[in-house]
This record gives sequence, structure tokens and C-alpha cells, in this order.
Amino acid sequence: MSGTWTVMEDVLPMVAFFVAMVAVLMVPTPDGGPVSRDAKGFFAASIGCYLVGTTTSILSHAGLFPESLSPAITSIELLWIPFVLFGVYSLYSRQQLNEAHAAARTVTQTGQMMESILETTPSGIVVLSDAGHVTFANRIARGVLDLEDDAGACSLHALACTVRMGDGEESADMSALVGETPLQDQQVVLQWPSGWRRILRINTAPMLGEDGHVAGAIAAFVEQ
Amino acid sequence: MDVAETFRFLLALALVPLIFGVGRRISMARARTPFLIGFSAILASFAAGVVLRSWLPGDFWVRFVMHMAYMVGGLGMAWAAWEARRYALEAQVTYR
Repeated sequence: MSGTWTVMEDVLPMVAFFVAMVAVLMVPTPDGGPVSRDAKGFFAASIGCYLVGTTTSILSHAGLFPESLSPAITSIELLWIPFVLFGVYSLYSRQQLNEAHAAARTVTQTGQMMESILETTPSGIVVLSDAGHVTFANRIARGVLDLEDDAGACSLHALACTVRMGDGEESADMSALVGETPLQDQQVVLQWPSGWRRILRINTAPMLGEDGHVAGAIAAFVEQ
Repeated sequence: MDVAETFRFLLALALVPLIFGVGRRISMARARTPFLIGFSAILASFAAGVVLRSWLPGDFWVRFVMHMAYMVGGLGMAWAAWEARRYALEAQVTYR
């Protein structure tokens, strides 16, 4: 009875760790999935340490394993701790990576959606720097303001026109549209040196920089 | 006192805050409890190993506790791995 139990007390943990090994090996590790191959490998290795330990223990009780190698087995079992640590850390790293990729995908999709909205709206929309330079213009705005096509690529354009506001105030550039106070349904006249002019109804909203100061403005307009 | 067994127990004990600190941030909530059970059982088996090798060599009950704790540890790890598998499969179905 005692001999049977001596074997059983090694066999039971061995069976448990064998089941654990099978379960770990059945975890799917697709690219971008929650479990990385590294994590799976580390957990399999950690369980493998115990499979070696329990197997050698059984062999030892059967007199088939030299006692002198016992310290080596203890050392192998010691590896369980770093393997588990690496496994947990690999799982966490994969989760962080997946979250970063998901955030990047969301940003890209939102950017594409915003670009579609800007390019399909019937209004002209421009982004102005604090100096009044056009850093972005949608398709309608490029047509109305006679901007080159690369204005959509955030290049700086200083429009060579004077800007006359509805209250008669005149400015040599678009900086008159950049201020802390948003404009609502204002009539603005753009006059080019060649005599060419555009009359716009315009709304603006200030863009604040990290320091809280006005760093530019967004202006949406329709031509009258 | 058995140096190897004591070192193993103390090393595992020292890494508990790190392992569970990182583990708590992993979103596989269902795998946490089985992992906690498995890890704690293995720690208990380490403690029993220290007692067995240092002070009570050959004691039946200490050896019994040590091996049963090993078994519970193995089953806990198996359960945690199974939950991780379920989580990975559900993620495949949900997001792909």
C-alpha cells in the first residue's frame, strides 16, 4: 500500500501537469491574437520543468534514476519561476502592442473619415496658422481661393490678397480671421492685386495651442 | 535548513508582487483566479518542500501536502491555460 501510494503521489501531479501542458499547447497564437508564441513557449517550458521533475521522481522511486542528479532536477524546477514571469510579461506586452495597434487603426480610420467629410462638403474649409497662412484647404477652398493642389498637404500658403471684413476693417492677409473670438456668418471680401475678388460668408473657430494661446483658426465659407 | 529548497521558495515568494502586478493588468479576467490558485498551490508545495527537507524528512503528511499541492498547482495551471484558450478563440471570433 505504501509503495503504491509513493508512486501515486508522483503520478497525480505528473498527470495534472501533463493536462496543463496539453491545455497550453492548445492555446491558439494567431498573429495579432491575445496570446503570443513567446508567452505560450514560456508557459509550456515552465510546465515542462515540472514534468521533468515528476518523471524523474517516479524513476527515482523505481531505482532507475541516480540520486546524485537530484540537485540538477531541483535546479530545473527552479526555472519554473522565471519562465512563469516571462510568460506573464509576454502576455502583457502582446496586450499593450494590440492596444497600440487598435488605437493606430482608429486614428487612421477617423482621419480617413474626416478627409472624406472635408472633401465632400459643399463649403470651403481652410486651416489657418497664427500668422494667417493657409496650412490646409479642402477641394472647394482650393478652387475658391485659387490655391495650388498641394495646399491639402499642409503646406504654408500666404494668400496674396487683402481681406476686408464686414465692419470695414482691412487686413493685408488672412490673419484678421485668426482671433480668440469666433466669427459667425460674417461677410468677407478677398481682393487680389489683379482686381480679382471673392465675396464669402464665413464662420471661424479658434484653435488653441498647448499653452492655451490661439495657434490658428479653422474657417468654413461659402461663396456669395 | 535545506538551502536549495529555501532559495526556491523565497525566490518564488519575492517574485509574487511582480507576477501578480503584471498579471492584474492582463485583460484575461477568467484566467486570473485559476492562475492564482495554481501559483499559490505551487508556492505552498515549495513551503512544504522546505519543511520536508529541512526539519521533517520523510514525514508522510508533509510529503502528502507537498504532492497534493503540486497536483492542485498543475490543475490550476491547466484551468488557467484553458481559460486563456477560450479567450484567444473568442477574440478570433469577435475581431476577425
